[in-house]
Amino acid sequence: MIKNKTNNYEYIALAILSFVFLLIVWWLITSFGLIKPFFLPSPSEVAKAVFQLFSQGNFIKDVGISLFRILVGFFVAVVLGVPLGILIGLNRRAEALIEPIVDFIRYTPIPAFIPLFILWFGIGELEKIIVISASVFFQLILMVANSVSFTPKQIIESAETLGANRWQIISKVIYPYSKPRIFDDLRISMGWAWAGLILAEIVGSTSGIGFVIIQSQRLLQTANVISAIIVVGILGLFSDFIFKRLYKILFPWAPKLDHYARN
Amino acid sequence: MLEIKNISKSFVQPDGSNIEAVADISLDVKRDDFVAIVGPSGCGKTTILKLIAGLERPTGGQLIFEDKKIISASQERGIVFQHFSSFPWLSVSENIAFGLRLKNFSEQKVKTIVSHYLKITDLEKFKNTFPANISGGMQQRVAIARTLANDPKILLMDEPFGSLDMQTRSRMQEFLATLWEQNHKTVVFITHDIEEAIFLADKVILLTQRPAKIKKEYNIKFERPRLHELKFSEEFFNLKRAILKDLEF
Repeated sequence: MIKNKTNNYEYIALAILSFVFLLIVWWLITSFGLIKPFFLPSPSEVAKAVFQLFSQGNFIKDVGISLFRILVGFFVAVVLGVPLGILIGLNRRAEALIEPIVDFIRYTPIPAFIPLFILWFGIGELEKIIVISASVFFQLILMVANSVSFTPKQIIESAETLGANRWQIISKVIYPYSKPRIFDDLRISMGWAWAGLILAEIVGSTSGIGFVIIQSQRLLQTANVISAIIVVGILGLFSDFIFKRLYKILFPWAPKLDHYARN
Repeated sequence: MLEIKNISKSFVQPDGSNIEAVADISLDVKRDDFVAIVGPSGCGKTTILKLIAGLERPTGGQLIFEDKKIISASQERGIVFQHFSSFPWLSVSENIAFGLRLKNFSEQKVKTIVSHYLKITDLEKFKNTFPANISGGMQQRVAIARTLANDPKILLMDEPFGSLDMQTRSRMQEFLATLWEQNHKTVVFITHDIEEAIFLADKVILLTQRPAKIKKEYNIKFERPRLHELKFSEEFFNLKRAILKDLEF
């Protein structure tokens, strides 16, 4: 391991320090008037805006609807993407059939599809959920395909000589062995879900955090734009934290997350 | 029980060239034999074992196990690898139970067999521990117990103690010798350690450099039970020296 060791407290202290540093730079820029408040309001203005947003009931509703969309969209992507990823990872023919298409779509930015999605599915919940699912699905599928390929040959061969058939090798060896990695793939692809969510809500929407961002921009409420972005960031951090916690609870036998070499 | 008839095996390298790992080996293993195959590192020993297990197909010749040609892996031929191949997501006892559960044995039967093997491998205290949390020697005992619990007709061992420290290794050899003396089972044991081979086996087969051919066979007649002290006897030492000399030329 190249990374040097730190204890948990040191890690948390450094993490907080980086946020504090950012805050100080921000505060300095605004208090010396380097950027006009219209473009970049001071931290205290933004704090006030966050407080105001939450004290009006509407914003909490918007956060709620966003959470609903992201959960459903993410769930759909996982239910479809994980089995397909496992299939690609284990079967050459399936790989040849599916992977080139996935690669093609993966490199075409999802925003390019939005006009088409709106044409096909309207601007209701269905379209939002499809944008989120599509943002996650095509990334996740390849990550999962990669993750299942790490099962050591000796573990598979041991199972074969213990009498396991091909299906049992997949369901009782490769799948349980790869589960922690797949779970961590979910954590990483959650980031794509957030990106898809905001995208879906900025284009043709009347609710959600993304809508608050675009609406505040139209009304020239820069502090509200920044507040909403900060809320997205905090929710993202929170989901990441939940994934990491669950990882420890679900897979007590697995190596720590950063012991996995991720390329 | 096991007839190996003129087998050879070559592999195609990524650059398209062929590499011959095993060349024309014939060998008969009888029921309850303990055969050790010794040879220099990288000479193709592991390939022979994988051929017997059915994990690889030979390029020439054939392998017959109990009058049937070996065409795929089977629970009749259990294997223990050099590196820890226990299932990390299963506790020690669930590792041992793996093959039994595949066979849909009743919960009661699984329990009885598992506790028997936990006992003989002295792992009872660790039955609920994950493999990552026990020592290397214990992990190898889990692998052995897991294979034995499945009751294979032949036990294939690929340098099972190769990655253990000297002391643990010595203890494991004694453990295996005792185990074999009590539960007679046909064993093919691969090692590059001549001392280990002499200590454990009835028959030692010496291989050449790659491509592996049989260079010489020795019948080992030391009495059983064999204990660690045997290694310090003069006969043991002389035999070791003789084999070492054959290995060089």
